[in-house]
Amino acid sequence: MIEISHLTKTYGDRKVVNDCTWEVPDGAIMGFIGPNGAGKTTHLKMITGVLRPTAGTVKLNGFDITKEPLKAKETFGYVSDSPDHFLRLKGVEYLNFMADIYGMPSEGRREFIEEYADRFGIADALNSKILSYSHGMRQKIMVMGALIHKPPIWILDEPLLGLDPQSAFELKKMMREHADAGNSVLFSTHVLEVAEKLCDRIAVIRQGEIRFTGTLDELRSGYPEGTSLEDIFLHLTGEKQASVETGTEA
Amino acid sequence: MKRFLLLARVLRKCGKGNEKQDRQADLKGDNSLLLYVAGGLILPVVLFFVGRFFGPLSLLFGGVEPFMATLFLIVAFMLLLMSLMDLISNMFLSSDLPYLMSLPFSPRQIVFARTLNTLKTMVILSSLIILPFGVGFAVGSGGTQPAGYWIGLIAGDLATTVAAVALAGILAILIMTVFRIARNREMMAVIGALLGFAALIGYLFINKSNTALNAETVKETAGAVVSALSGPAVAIPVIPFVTKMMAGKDVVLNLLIVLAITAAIAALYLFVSDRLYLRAALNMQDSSSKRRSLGTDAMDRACRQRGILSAYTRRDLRLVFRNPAYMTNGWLLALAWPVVLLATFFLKDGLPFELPTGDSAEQAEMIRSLMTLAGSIAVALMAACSTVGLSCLAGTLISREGASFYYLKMVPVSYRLQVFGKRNAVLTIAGIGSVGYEIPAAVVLCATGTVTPLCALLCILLTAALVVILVNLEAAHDLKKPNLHWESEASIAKSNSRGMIIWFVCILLAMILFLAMPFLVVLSLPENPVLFATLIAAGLVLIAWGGAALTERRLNRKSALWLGNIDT
Ligand SMILES: Nc1ncnc2c1ncn2[C@@H]1O[C@H](COP(=O)(O)OP(=O)(O)OP(=O)(O)O)[C@@H](O)[C@H]1O
Ligand SMILES: [Mg+2]
Repeated sequence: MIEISHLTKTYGDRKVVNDCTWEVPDGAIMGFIGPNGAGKTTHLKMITGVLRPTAGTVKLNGFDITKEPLKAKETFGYVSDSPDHFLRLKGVEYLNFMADIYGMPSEGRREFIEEYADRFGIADALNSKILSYSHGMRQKIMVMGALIHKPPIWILDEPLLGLDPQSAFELKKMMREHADAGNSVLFSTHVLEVAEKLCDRIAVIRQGEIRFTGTLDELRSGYPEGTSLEDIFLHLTGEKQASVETGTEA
Repeated sequence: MKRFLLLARVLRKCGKGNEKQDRQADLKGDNSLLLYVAGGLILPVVLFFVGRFFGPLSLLFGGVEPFMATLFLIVAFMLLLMSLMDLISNMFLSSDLPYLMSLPFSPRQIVFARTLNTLKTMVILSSLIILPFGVGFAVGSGGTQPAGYWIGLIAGDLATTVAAVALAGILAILIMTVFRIARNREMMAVIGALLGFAALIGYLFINKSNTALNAETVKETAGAVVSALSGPAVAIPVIPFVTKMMAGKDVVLNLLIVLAITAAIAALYLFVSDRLYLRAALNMQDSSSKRRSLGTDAMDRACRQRGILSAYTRRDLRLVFRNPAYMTNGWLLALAWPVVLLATFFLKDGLPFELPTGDSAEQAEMIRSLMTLAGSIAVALMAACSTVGLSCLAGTLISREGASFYYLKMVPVSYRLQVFGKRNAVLTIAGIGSVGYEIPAAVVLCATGTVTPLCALLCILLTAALVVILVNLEAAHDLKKPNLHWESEASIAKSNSRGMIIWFVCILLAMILFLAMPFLVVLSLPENPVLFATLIAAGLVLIAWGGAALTERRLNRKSALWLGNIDT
C-alpha cells in the first residue's frame, strides 16, 4: 500500500510534479502511464526516497518515507529506469551485495538466485561481470536485485523495456503472482497494451499532474462504447492541447 | 596544420574530453578555485623564504650549482610523475578516444594536441616553484648573481618542464603498449611484479645501509634520499647545463645545449607517438572476459551472509580494483608509490652537494640521530600523503557512484553506516600502501640497528594518524560536494587536484625538514637537540592522533546530514 498526498517537486521555478494525491492499494498492479517528461520517474524517485519532495508526504505500508526512512525502505524493491549499475561486479556478487544490505540470511539466497536466474534465463551469466551483459540481461539482474529481499511492494520504472518476449512474459507473471498474494506493484510503462492486459488499476499523469486513477472499466465508462484505450489515453494526456498550453505559457 | 590547430583548440575547450555538462554546475560554485588561488599565493611566498634560507648557505657549501641542481631535480621528478598520470588518462582513458580515432588525424597530431593541455598546467606549476625559489635564493645570497643566473633560471624552468612532460609522454605510451598483456585478468600479476620489485629494492636498501654506522654512512644515507630525486637527472640531461649557466659559466654555449637537448627529447616523443600511439590506444578499446559458469561450492561461498559494513567495503574494493581508470589514478599509485620513489635510489650515488657532517665525533653522532628522527617523520609524511594524495579514491568516495548514487538513498541502511563502509575500503588500501610497508621495514631496520625502535614507532603512529586524517578530510569534502554527473570513470578519477596539492606540499615539507636538519645543528644548537627533537616528534604524533579523532568524530556526526543533503 502506497499513500501519496500532495506530492510536489520543483526544479527552479518549474513544477515537475504538482500536488499529486493518490494511492496504490494492496493486492493490485498499478500501471503508471504518461507521455515522456510527464514526471513518472521523478514521482517514483520521490516515493523511494531517492529524491526529496519539495512538499507532500509518501507512506509505504504506513511508514513515512521522510520520517521513518529505514523502515519505509525495507518495504519495497525498486528498479530504476536505467539498468547500468555496478558494471564491474559479477551478477552473483551484485545479488549478494543487495542481500547483505537487506540483511537476508544465507539460507534462501541460493534458492532465490537459482530460481529467478532460471526463469529469466541468465543462469550461466551469473559468474560474469555485469559489464558484459546485454541491456536486457542487465535489466533482469537489476530486477532480481530489487526482489531478493522479498519486499511486499514492488516499484518498477519501465521494467519491460528491452526484455525479450519470454522474459517479459515471466516478469508479468511474477507481478501477477505478487499482487495476487496481496501485495502492491507499481510500474511505469509506455506500452498501452501491457497496461490494458496486466493492470488492475492505472494512474495517468500529464505535466506533473495526475489526470486519472482507477480501474480500466472506470476509465472506459466515461467514454462512448468501443473507444480504444489509445484514443482515451491521447485524449487524457491531450498531446495537442498540451503543446498549445506550453506554447502560450512560454 | 590548420586542421591541427582546430583540433588542439577543440580538445583544449573540452578539457579532458570527459566532462559531461553538469546541469547544476553553475549553481554549485567551485571552491577548488579558491584552493588554487591560495596555493598559488602561499606556495611561492613559502618558497621564496626557503630560497632565502638556502641562499647564504650556498656561499658556505659549494656554491650555486649543487643547490639549483637539487631544486631542478625535485621539480623534474614531481612533474614527471604528475604528467605521466595526466597523460595516461588523457591519451588512453578519455571517453572521446574512439571518436577521435575515427577522425582523419595522425597519431602525432592527437598526441601533441593532448599534450599541450598537460604542458600548460605543468609550466604554471613549475614556474610557481622554481621562480620564487630562485629569486629568494638570489636575494639571500646577496643579489649579485650574473645575468646567466636569471637566463638559466627561466630557460631551466621551461626546458625542464618540456623535457619532463615529453619524457612522461614517452613513458605513458610505452607503458600502455606493454600494458595490454596485463589489462584484464592478469592485472594481479602486474601488482605482484611491482611488489616483488619493491621487495628487491628494499632488500638492496637494507643491504646497503647495514654497514657500520659512522659519519660516512650517515652522509651516504642522506645522499640516498636526495639522489632518490636525481633519478630523472639521468633522463632529463638538461639540468647540469642549466646549473652551469646559472653559475655564470659559458652562458651562450650552455643555453644552446639546453635548447638542443630539449628539442631532441620533444622530437623523440613525436617519433614514439607516431610509431606506437595508435596501437596502444587500440589496445585500450578491446576488452574481453571469459564467461565461466558458477560451481556449487563457489555459489555457496558467494551466498554467505556478511555484515552491512563489510558488504559495502568489499563492494567498493571490487569496483575499484577492477576498473582501469581507478587503477592508474587510484590504487596503483596508492600502493606502488614506494617503487617510484625507491627505484630512483639506486640510479645514482652520493649527494649533489655537501651536507655538513659536523666537526667532532659528538656532533656527527648528534646529526645522525637528528637525521634519523627527521627521516622517520619525513617518511611518515611522505607515506601518508602519497598513498592518500596521489590516489583519487578518498576524494571520489561518493562521486564514484555517479548515476548509481540513488542506491545509497534507496536502501534501508543508515547513511552513516554506508559512508563508513565505503570509507573503510579507502582506508584499507591507504593502510596497506603506508603502514603495511612501514611495519615490515621497521622490523628489519630495527633488527639491523639502522633506526631505533622509538623512531620506527613514532613514524608508524604518525603515518597511521595522518592517513586517517587525510582520508577523512578528503571523504568529507567529497560528501559535501560530490560530482555525480560524469560520463566516464576516467574523468572522475582524474579530478584529483586537491589530492595532488596535498601530496605536493607534504613532499616539499618532508624534503625541507630532512635537508635542513644538519644545517640547524651546525648553525645553532639548542641545549640537547636530540631530546628536543624527540619531544617535538612525540608531540606531533599526539597532535596528529587528536586530529584523527576529530575528523573521525566529525564524519560520524555529519556524514548522514551531508549524504542526505545530496539531491540529484
Ligand atoms: N535534475 C533535474 N533538473 C531539472 N529538471 C529535471 C531534472 N530531472 C528531471 N527533470 C525534468 O522533469 C520532467 C519529468 O521528468 P521525468 O524523468 O520524471 O519524466 P518521465 O515521465 O519519467 O519521462 P519518460 O517517459 O521519458 O521516462 C522532465 O521535463 C525533466 O526534464
Ligand atoms: Mg522516466
